[in-house]
Amino acid sequence: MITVESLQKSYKADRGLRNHTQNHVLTGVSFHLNDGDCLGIVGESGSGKSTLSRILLGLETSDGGTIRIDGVPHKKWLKQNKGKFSVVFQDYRTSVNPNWTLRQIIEEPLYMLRSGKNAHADHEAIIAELMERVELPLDYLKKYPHELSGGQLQRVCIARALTTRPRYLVLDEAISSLDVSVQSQILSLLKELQREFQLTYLFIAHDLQAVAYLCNRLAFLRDGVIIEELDCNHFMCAQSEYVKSLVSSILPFQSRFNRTSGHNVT
Amino acid sequence: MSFFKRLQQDKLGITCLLFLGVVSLAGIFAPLIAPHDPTLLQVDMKLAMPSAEYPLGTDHLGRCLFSRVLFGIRTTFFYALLAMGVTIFSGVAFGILAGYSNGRVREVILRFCDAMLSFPSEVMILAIIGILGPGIMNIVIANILSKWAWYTRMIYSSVQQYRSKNYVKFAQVHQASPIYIMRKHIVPGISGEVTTHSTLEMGWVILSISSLSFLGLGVQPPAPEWGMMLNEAKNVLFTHPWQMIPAGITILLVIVALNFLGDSLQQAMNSKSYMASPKQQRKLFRLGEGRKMVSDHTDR
Amino acid sequence: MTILTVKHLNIVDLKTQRRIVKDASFSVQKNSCLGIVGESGSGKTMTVREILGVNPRWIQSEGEIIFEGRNILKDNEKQRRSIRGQKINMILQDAMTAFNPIEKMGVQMKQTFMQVLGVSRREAERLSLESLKKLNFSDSLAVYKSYPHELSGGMLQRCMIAIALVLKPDIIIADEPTTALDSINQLEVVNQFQSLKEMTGTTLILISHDLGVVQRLADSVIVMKDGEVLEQGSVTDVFNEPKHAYTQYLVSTRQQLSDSFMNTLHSGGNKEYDYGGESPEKL
Repeated sequence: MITVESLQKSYKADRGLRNHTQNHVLTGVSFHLNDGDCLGIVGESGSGKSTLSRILLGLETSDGGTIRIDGVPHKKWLKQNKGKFSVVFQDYRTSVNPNWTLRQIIEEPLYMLRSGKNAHADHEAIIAELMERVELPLDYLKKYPHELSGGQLQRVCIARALTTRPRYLVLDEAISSLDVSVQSQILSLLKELQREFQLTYLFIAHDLQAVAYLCNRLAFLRDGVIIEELDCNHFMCAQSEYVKSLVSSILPFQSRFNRTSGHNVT
Repeated sequence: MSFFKRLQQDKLGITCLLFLGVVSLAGIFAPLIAPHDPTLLQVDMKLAMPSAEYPLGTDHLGRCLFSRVLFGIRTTFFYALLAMGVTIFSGVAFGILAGYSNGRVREVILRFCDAMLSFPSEVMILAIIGILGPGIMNIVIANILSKWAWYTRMIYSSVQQYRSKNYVKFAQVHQASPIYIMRKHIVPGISGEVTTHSTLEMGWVILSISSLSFLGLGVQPPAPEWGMMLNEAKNVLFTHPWQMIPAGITILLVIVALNFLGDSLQQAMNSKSYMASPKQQRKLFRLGEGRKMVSDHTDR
Repeated sequence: MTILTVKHLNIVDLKTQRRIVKDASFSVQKNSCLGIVGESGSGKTMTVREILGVNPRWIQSEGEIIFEGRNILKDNEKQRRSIRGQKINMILQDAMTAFNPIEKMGVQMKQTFMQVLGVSRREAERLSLESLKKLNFSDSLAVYKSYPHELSGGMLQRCMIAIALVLKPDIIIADEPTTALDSINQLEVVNQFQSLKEMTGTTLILISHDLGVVQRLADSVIVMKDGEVLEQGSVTDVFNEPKHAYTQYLVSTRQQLSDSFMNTLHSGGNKEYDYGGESPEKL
């Protein structure tokens, strides 16, 4: 279980020679994440989502507040549990080294975890299994990132994130850069993978529909604080005006067309 | 199209690369190839035009120009290689160090670079020569000292760019050490631009060595050096204009080859500048519905 | 009445040696809204950029684009320029990069009007403020005086619409106007386009990969994939009875997302919960 309490982060913003103002990005974020949950963190651009995600991943240090994983301070836990906390980023193009083959990309976390010795054979099996799970043909392993479409590359990133059997997976706007039809495929995939691999997701996004599809709990981030936490089934219990207006501005799509069964992966 | 494929297609680039390879080999095997001792005086044969015995003629002291040009490769070309190597290496080392360390170390390196960069490099070279005295090694040192700061800054900004990439962040999330990231991601990433800059820098250093030797601040006679040969030739410019040609043309060809090679490498690395020839264009438009000669998948 | 016709348009990228648009043909009716639906790489942006003539020199095209009775592909640069901005205007996808970051919004609007319409500075200022007011900004004067980075994505899009309003072009092309925005901003922009249609009767060409937006705004739609036009027709026909397998796929995946959200919304049994863009004040 992850407990975040009163997280604070501010940056110095230069406004002239002597005038330094503090830009308070996060002013007291608190939430908790139970094992097996999928918590969606919804907020507009500028609400502090990216800062929050960077702090959670250990890429930046907060100015105040605590994060504990199973009671242990989060940075210590990360060091002791290498590979158990993983991430899928929004920009799949810069998430992979463009000069590496897919095999090298997917193998990297395993390579970092164990150093050489007879690890190679095990790696092959794990990589093959994951490629199958993300529905990519095995012979893609020798391709380079630029040969793949966005959806395929994001699948590679998901496969890579899962090689070390993490417990927690941060999805940092993982589908926002994809086309809408590809988004729903990836969301379905993520849902299946959560069940199969017993993952706990932290899904950071601005698209309420996507979050509602995947998550069981939602937290709304605005102006540096979590203004509301909701269970996904209880949208009507929303108290704040902001959340209500967010929900009501979703554009539905209505069609009399009867859905046909599955299509090819893109 | 991959980097090597594009490079292969660039005939000019390949030609330049081969030419420079030949020059390097000629320099290494100079004692075996040169028909005469470059310092051997044959005053009665002075200022001769090219002949069977003296392929490029002789200079004002009767020394074989062809042999002098060949041995000059060792002086000009190889010392330039040394200067370029040390400059680039120190630029990369300090650039990575600055890019990857936090706080004090980085600030010290960057401020030091700023200070070095505030001097115009040519003036700085002359000043260093003035302090150390003439000599080919001192020219090399002067070049290194005046150029390394620029490379440090450049590599530093590249390292910054790579550090902000998501794949580096991913490795960090998985607790990768800075050494791992440098080794696996950053150094391979910057190797392309480092190679390109190396060729261009070589050209600059050769010019620097030659010009300083021309001014008498480089190698001392009787050592063969292209710039010095030009200096000697200028005295008889109007009576024997051929004297300027061997060294002059050699410098020109080598620097042009280095520059073109640098351009080719840059173009090969940057896929955006590759264009279809007119013939390929016509082919593209004549494609019918069924015949697909190019991939349909457009990647943007 | 048809205002623009595209016939057998082929576009080739000389750098990558690929044909980006293959034999595209469609037409746009006056005072209507045409939606162009397709995923990234389908060629939709390239097609409209070719209509405007703003593709770089390594993009070559063949075919016909008939506007004002002639094939504008055969026009020279001067003629293209006279159409661009005034007769056919484009609202770009990434609003943040569409404006000069070092100048205030009002200044940029004024400059555009002075340049394109040839009016005086005073007149340009009046036009800017007037059109900003029309766009339902809560404080249009503040927007006029702000820098682009101080405004949200939705507001920037609406500023572009404000400029388009004043220029009164025959056709406005909006390239993925809602893609970079979150749902509240998206709704703002969609509503804005709706009132634009009603206010000025301009013809609108809307490019989007979000079928929800297209359904709301467009009258007719074309579906593009890999540079080809796979299906075209009225919005109701194409979305309710898609004929091509790819269109069916797009429709069904979008439905899936929409349906599941609606189910989640109604699962608590709350029927009063309004959605689909009703104004928040109603809640």
